[in-house]
Amino acid sequence: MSRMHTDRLQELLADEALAALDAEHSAELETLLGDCPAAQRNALMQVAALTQLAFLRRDQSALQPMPERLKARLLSAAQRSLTGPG
Amino acid sequence: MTTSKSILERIAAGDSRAVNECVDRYSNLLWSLARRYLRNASDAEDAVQDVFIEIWRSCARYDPGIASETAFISTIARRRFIDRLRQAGRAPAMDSLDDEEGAPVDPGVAATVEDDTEVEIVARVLDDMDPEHRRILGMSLYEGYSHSEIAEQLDIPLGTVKTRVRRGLIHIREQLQITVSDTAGGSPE
Repeated sequence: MSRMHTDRLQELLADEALAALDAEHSAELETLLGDCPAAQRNALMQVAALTQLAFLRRDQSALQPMPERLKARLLSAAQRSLTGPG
Repeated sequence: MTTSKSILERIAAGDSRAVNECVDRYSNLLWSLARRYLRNASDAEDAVQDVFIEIWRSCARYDPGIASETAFISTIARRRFIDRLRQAGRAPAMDSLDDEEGAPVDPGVAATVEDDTEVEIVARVLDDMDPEHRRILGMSLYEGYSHSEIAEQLDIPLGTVKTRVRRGLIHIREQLQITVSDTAGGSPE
């Protein structure tokens, strides 16, 4: 894999993790990824997710309890998902 | 030596009690992230439900040797939140955080975030970052603003925003690799 190819791949993976990928660049990313291992594909998304958590940690006012009705909906969906086909 | 299994490993093994534990442990965390990132309560509800369904379906793929449970779950969440933003036409609806201001903070949510080593490392990297750079990164990663919205709000060129968020993310990844490598006494891949 050429340096240019690697740099472009990293740029597109960063944009994907930053929610900044349009349809055209998304298609370009899929082509460049080829059979790239899932772990490599996921690495920057995981860094973005950890960073999101680190910001939440700094912003204690954003911590909110989930509404009980949504929690009940989740548990019901879990039962359907885990007992359903597939 | 006895090793206790993670919640996700127990769900994958068919332990139905672990499902309730997973919801108890992560629901408030994911809800808080979704409300901040997506803003719109209805979008946040749908997104969080999608995240949990994805967790049930993919828990068998979880490997504690690769990522913490919190990192695994929050990565699934981030992909789903991005999908939801895209479906909603990208612009976060800035309508209704007011109704929940003053709601009691669950100390368990804070503990979940504070106990995670990787989150701790990233928090330290953010502390050391230039404040304006950190602000741009936060608006993008945490608050769900598009690059063009950030450029407009901060009155800086779009290209500058793009460069800073990309560099910020890659810098955090490098620092994580260095710190994890130092801790493990090995070298990153």
